[in-house]
Amino acid sequence: CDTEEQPPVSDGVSSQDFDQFLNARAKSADHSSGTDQNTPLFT
Amino acid sequence: QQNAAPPIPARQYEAAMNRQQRYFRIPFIRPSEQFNAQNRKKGWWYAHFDGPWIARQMELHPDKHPVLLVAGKDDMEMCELSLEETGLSRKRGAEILPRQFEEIWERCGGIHYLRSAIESRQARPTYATAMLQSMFK
Repeated sequence: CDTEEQPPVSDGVSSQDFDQFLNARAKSADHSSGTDQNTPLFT
Repeated sequence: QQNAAPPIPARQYEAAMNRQQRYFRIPFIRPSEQFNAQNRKKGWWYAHFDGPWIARQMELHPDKHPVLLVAGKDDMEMCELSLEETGLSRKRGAEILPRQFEEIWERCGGIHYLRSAIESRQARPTYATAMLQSMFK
């Protein structure tokens, strides 16, 4: 059994500002068709 | 006309080598699919922090082109929080190995993208720019 002590962790990232940033980025992807600067990864 | 990448000053290179490099990956769930547990498509947010500040950011969304962002050129779209402020280093499972980041970065065209940003002098000097410039020297 793993006895190594682990720090408490939540499902989300602890920083509220960072959560807001991530949500904003996810929303931005929802509303854009993607950039054409890069090659598609999901084909 | 001037296409050559700017030379990398030795001091800048040394400073970059002495900063801690950390890499993270966080799942993205689109807000519209947040409550659709069965069929939701997960994306990924990747970050490379050069010392306390982000140097490269990458976003992989299902069915969309990957988004690559580099410090200096894409600051407006990048995480402006310091590593400490994000809380990422305290989140178990978020930190990944450098090669895990680099593999995806390269696959998505990151080398070409960063090189273009360096050549157009839009990229802020970071560990990533130093490594790339030393590779092409």
